Amino acid sequence: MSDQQQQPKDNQLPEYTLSGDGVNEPIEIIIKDVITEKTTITKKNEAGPHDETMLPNSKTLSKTIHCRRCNCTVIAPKNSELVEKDITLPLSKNSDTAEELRYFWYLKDMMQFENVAFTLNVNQTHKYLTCADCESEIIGMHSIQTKENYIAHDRVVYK
Amino acid sequence: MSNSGPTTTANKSAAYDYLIKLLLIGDSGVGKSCLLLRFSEDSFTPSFITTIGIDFKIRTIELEGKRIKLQIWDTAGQERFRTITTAYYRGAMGILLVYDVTDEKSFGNIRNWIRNIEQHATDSVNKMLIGNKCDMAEKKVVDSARGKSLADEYGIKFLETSAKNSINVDEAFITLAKDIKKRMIDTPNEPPPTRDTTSITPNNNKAKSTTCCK
Repeated sequence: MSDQQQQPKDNQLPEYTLSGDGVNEPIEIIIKDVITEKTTITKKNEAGPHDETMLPNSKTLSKTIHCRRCNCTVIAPKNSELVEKDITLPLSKNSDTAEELRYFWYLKDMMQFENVAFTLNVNQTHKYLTCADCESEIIGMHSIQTKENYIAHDRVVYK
Repeated sequence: MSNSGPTTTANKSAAYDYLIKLLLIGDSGVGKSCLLLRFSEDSFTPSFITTIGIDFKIRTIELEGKRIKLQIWDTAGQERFRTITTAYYRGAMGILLVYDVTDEKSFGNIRNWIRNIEQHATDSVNKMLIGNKCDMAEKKVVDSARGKSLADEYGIKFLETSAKNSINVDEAFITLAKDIKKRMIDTPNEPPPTRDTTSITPNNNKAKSTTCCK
C-alpha cells in the first residue's frame, strides 16, 4: 500500500509522452495473407444449404447459425441472405491449405452478427472472421473496402 | 433512448438497441486477448488464428431487456510499441484496464495507462480495473487489497478475473456495459459526453484531478 511501489521505474515504463500536439502517428499493424503462392487451394464444390435454412421463396436465413466447434451463436434468423460467390478461405490448422468455397451468408452490416471475431487487416484488403468464443477456424471474411461480410455455409451449423 | 446523443447507436434494422464500444488496455502478456476467449482451455493450444491476431470482436448481450452489441477491441499488440494511439481510443465508451496479479510491473504500469487514457480518451469514459490470472494463487504478488485500493483512488470498479477458469470474465464485461448504459441512456440529465473526435485536441486537461502522485 505504500506509495513507493507506484513510483515510476524509468526505463521499464511505456512512453506515452506524445508531446505538444497530442497527435501521434497511428501504428497500423497489417499482416500478410496466410494464403501464398505455396498454398494448396482446393475447389470444394460443396452442396448448398437445405431449403429449410431459408424463409419460403427467399434467400433469407430462417435458422440460427452456430460455430460447428463450440456452438457459439454467429448469426440470428433474418439477419443474412444466401449468396453464391467464389471466396477462398484458409483451413484452420493447416495454414498451407485453403478451400475455394461457393455458398456464403451475406451480411451488409457487421452489427448484424450476434457474435464474431475480426482478425487484423490482411493485405489491407480484408479481415478473416472467426468464432468469437473459440477462434478455432476461419469461418468467413470481411471486405475492408465494401464493409461486406460473408460467412461460409460449409463451415457452420444450423439450429 | 431519449438522449443517446453521439454515443450509443439505436438501430432497428440490425435488431439491436445499443452499440457499446469497449477497449482492453494493459501491458503485453497480462492476458487481454484471453479475456476475449470463452473456451480458454481449448484455445490455449495456439491456433494459427492467434498468430494472425484478433482486431476486435462483436458480442451480443441482453441487459435489462435491451439488446446490446458490444464491440470489444484488443490492442492487437500495439501496447508493445509502448503507446496506444489516439485513433484507438476514438469513440471508446468503456475501458478495461488489465494487469496480471502475478506481475508487479504490470500493476505499477496501470497508473501510466490511466495517464494515457486521460490524455487520449474522452473524460467521461467508464473505466474498470481488472486483476487477471487470479487462478494462480501461489504466484500472486499483487494482493486484492492493493488492487481495490488503486481502483478506489481513481473511483473505478475492481474485479479479479481468471480467463483460464472463466472467473468473473462475463461479470467484468457486463458490469462495465451496465455502467455505460446507465451513464448514457438511463441518465438523460447528464450532459452528453464530448464528441469523441475532440479527444484529438491537444491538452484538453481540465479534469486532471486524479494525477496526485508525483
